[in-house]
Amino acid sequence: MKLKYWRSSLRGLLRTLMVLTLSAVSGPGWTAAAQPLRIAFVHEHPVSAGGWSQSHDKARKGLEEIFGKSIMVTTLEGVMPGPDTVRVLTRLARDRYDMIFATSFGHMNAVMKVAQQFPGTTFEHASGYKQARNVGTYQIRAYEGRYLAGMIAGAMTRTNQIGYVGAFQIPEVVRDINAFTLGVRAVNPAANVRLIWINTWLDPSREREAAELLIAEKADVITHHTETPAIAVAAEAAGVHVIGYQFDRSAFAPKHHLLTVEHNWLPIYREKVQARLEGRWKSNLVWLGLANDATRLVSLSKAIPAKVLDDVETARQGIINGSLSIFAGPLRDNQNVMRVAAGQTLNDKDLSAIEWIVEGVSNSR
Amino acid sequence: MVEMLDVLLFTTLRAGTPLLLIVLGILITERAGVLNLGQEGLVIMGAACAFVATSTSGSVWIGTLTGVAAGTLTALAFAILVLALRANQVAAGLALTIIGTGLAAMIGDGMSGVSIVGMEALPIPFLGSLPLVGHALFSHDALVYVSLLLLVVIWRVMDHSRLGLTLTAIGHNPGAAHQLGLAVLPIRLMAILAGGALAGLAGAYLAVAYTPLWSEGISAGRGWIALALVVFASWRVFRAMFGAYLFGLMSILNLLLQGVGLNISPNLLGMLPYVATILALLLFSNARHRNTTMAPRALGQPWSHGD
Repeated sequence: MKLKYWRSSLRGLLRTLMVLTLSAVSGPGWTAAAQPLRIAFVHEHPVSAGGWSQSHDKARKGLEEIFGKSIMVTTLEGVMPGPDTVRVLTRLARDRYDMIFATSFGHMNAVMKVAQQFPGTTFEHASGYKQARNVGTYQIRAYEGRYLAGMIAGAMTRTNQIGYVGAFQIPEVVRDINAFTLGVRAVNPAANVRLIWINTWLDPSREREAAELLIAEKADVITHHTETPAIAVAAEAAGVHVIGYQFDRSAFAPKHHLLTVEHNWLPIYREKVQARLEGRWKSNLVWLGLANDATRLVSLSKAIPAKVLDDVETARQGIINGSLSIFAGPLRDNQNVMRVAAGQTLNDKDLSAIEWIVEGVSNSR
Repeated sequence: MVEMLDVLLFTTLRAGTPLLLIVLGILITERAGVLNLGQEGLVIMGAACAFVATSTSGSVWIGTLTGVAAGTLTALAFAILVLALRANQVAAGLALTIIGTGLAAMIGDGMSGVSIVGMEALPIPFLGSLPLVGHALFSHDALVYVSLLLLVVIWRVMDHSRLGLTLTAIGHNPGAAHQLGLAVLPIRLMAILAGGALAGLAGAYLAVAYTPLWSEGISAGRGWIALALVVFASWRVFRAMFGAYLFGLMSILNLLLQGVGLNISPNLLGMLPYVATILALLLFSNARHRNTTMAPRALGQPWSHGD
């Protein structure tokens, strides 16, 4: 899209200037021992947009508090997937950044390409499924939090219609929708999750339109997998419950916000950076969930009955100690095809590539 | 079913409103022969300033006026470039988009976590309680009505007034218009500023009425879509309005059709608004006014007294 192209060009220019300035400040005059670990964050969206990128940026602040002077962090926003990402990553690697975190799923191929040319640089890619000797991946088991949120949605709905606004049909989003629906069905087998895809991460108007269509179809609890708080705004205006995602959305729906499934990336970043500082970094997948507080329920509403919260806490303990398995068979998809046989359960590999949508979700595809 | 139609009509009208406002602004500017590709920059500047002003003042009306003023001032910068300095209009327009987007991000910095009370709905007495269409057509926020009022006024002025003829003359042949004693540059300036004000109003609508929140992606390419709509509508007011609402309708249908069990690929559905709007406007323009495109012949060409 033209807009994005021009916008990213400007950002590209600003970025280059910034990187040049930074390399001038911390130039080769320093001794090796005094040099902090040079870390760069590359985001697709502005960190101020209130969603995914902002949740990473929050962890970045935490990293700076923990590691202080032993790290030096640069953050680049608005890096669109594609040639722009290759250019930015190459520039960062040339400027001797030691560790580069690319936070968008769309950055994956660019990371793989650039990492091959700079074997001495450590790359980390969030939510992707490709690794290399110097490319690690990391992800939050947000689906565990989603399952708990689904339990609350299932208990709170009166119409048995729950609305879900999704961005793109990729494993990360599908996994969350499935876990959420399984949570709903665990407490309320009669409830139905109605899903609308909007084919964009960030467009407040489209997010709101989708939310309002869901509400018009009698959904009285809505949730989302998109960037902005537009869905919370729509829910507050229509007087239906909303479950936020990624970043606490309670300010946008003071009366009708039930909870937010929040991302907490800090445990993951802390582990990755610590390993790199101690020279024991190895390419791996770090996938943390409820057990490490990487996904958590925040700003829980007083409207949720104590009994429901007790059940949710029991389930949380169950997921942490392994007695409760979210994706345990028998599971059918929403075309009524058996996907997980009784007695079986999905492993991490299955989950990272999941593309079928579970029974209980209505959508044309 | 009736309820779904009501929702469809209601959301279509609302989704079409920002496009309609931008399209009207582009029509005025381009009728005068000036091509301003910086619509996206104008819209997002209007949105950012409207949001910040609403958040600080607590009044959506102060916010809306600030958005209009921001659009106008941003357009003034464009006017200085292309009228006084005779800069290339395409390059200046693109620069305006880049600068507007960056500046808006700066103005809106730190505002994305802020919530405001958006513009309230203003149901029109009596009409709002009509059966079937009452809610869908007459229970919007004030800016939706304002956009329709502006549509009628702009149509009257452009197609049925002396000022409209003057604009068209300047857009077709500024040299000849100058010989006739028309003030080419001042009128072009006014046209550019009016376009900026309307784009700023569209931005204000997005940020304080449609989705009362600030996000850097809030304009979401609407400026570019509106520019294309004007071309496909052959610079005619009502055809452009038709295009804006059709695009709004199709983008809603794209979401709504997901629920009815049609097995269409998401990517094809995503193309629906663009394809349907282009097809409809092409068919529409072929049917009758085939040879009467209003394309200003001097569009994009700089002019000054020496020419």
